[in-house]
Amino acid sequence: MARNDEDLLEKKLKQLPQFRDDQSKEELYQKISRQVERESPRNKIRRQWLVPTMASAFGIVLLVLIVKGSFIDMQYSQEESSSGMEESALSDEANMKRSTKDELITGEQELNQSLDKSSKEDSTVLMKALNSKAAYDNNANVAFIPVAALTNSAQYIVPISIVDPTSTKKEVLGEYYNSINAKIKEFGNSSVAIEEELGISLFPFEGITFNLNQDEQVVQLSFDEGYQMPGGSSIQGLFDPILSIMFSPQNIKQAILTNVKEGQLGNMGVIEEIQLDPLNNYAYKIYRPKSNMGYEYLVPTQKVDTLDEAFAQMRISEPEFEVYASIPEETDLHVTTEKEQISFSFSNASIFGNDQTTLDMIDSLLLTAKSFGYRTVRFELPFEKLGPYNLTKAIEVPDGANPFILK
Amino acid sequence: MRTAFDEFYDNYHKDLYQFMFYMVKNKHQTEDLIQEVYIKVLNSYDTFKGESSEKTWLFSIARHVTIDFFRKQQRKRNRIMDFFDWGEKGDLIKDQEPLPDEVAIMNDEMRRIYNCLDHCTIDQKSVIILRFIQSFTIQETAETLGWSVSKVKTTQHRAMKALKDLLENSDRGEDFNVGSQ
Repeated sequence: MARNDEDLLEKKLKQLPQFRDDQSKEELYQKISRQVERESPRNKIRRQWLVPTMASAFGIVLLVLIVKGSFIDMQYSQEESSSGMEESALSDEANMKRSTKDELITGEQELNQSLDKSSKEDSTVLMKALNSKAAYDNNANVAFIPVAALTNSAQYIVPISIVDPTSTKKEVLGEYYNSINAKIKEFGNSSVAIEEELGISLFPFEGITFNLNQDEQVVQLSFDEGYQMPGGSSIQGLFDPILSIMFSPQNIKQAILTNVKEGQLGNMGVIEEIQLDPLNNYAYKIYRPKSNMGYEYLVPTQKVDTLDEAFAQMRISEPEFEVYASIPEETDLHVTTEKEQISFSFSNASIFGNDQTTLDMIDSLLLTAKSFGYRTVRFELPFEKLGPYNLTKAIEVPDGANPFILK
Repeated sequence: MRTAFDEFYDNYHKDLYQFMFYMVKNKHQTEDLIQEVYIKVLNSYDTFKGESSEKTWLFSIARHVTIDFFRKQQRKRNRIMDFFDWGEKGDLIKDQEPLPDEVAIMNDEMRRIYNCLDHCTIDQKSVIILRFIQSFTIQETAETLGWSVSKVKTTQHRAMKALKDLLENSDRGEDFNVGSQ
């Protein structure tokens, strides 16, 4: 847009009318006081963890039936590290292959809803292994490449960490970024639509060529002549954060866009560069698509100002987007921070079982803590081990989420 | 609580109201959301670290409250669409607010600018309101939105381009379908 046009438009914007609040200061204060009083903790009735014994028993029976038919064998390497992680991302081979039946989701939901403390002890025996949705780039001989897709409603980004044990990152980085969707599709069965099988939608990467220059911390995006970003601001609005998710971990600070033509990027206009800021201050929740294959993901949802707001968001489900709370509503969470470490304790820790629900909460707290700049996380829970984590030690925040491990 | 409220109200209420109104374009919703902003501010004032100015902290909370409001509206819209199975036509359903008197008396071009703002993305709209209607500096806008200065500049450039295109399209009587949120 010509400078003159922009100046003229700017001038007109400044002439838009001023709007004033009709209510008085006192009136507003009274409303706020009444609201604050209503919301004060002493007026809240804490929801009790009361689950009838019969329901618990039913939950266990159901779980036995479901678990028996749903899980495939999984093996954890027991190599202990100082970071609180007991397995590499690579060893958790079953992360994306853990279930092939829709009953798994139903089973987990039943588990969440109906298990009480006593039944949870039993569930640790019933559950053969738990699946962490956090991903660690802790093996120099293995390629670890952060890419991204979308939820099927295109409401949120699904970060994906592709782990390729057959190559090193240096060898395949360019190749992977220029075939993101093809690589993601490799994890599905080609005869089934990816939206149905993996429960994710691919971002329109085809027609964009990525060229990484890590020395100059720049990624160049070259657009094919026929490239067209789909209409609607939801997908277009996710373009910047998707680039951040994929390239900030590679220490890339800027995306340079070349060959962009009028209209190709829809409402974004003709842009030449995008600054890539790390994805900070996001609350991670569970994306549980209605697909029948049992895949689940942790997704960054709302950007918030404070940790408290993040934890509040993490308790809220958004079923219309197939996104669910990652912190159970009853959780009484206490947080302390010291430099780059954050610690979580729970006054009602006995409600947690050594199960997938608790592991999802731990993973989501780790990823949320990372987005707030913390490096290590401690958890006070009534068990020492949970999935890949050794809870007696501080756990390093993950390098990514949702590992897709190539065989 | 009263002292903190007085301080925020006396210093920023006029600007806060203006920002929230331009974001949601409805008087009653603005009043409800402003109430929510003050409650959040007063509840977390003790934990305010002073890393940004009070003003940018207040406005960043206001922006998040607004985004949350839009999300809830979107969910409501989706639920209604699901219920009635309006399918693709549902995208055409938009909340139509009557023009406020202050805008209705302005010339056609200014009315169109006011309307076209709603067809920018939330990010673009936030930048335009903060930079040109509220006269925030680039630095203040960056702190408010939690972005880098260069990102504000890029978004501002895109926003002005998008707004100009929208105005041209509206001039030609074309439908706006450039992605409202």
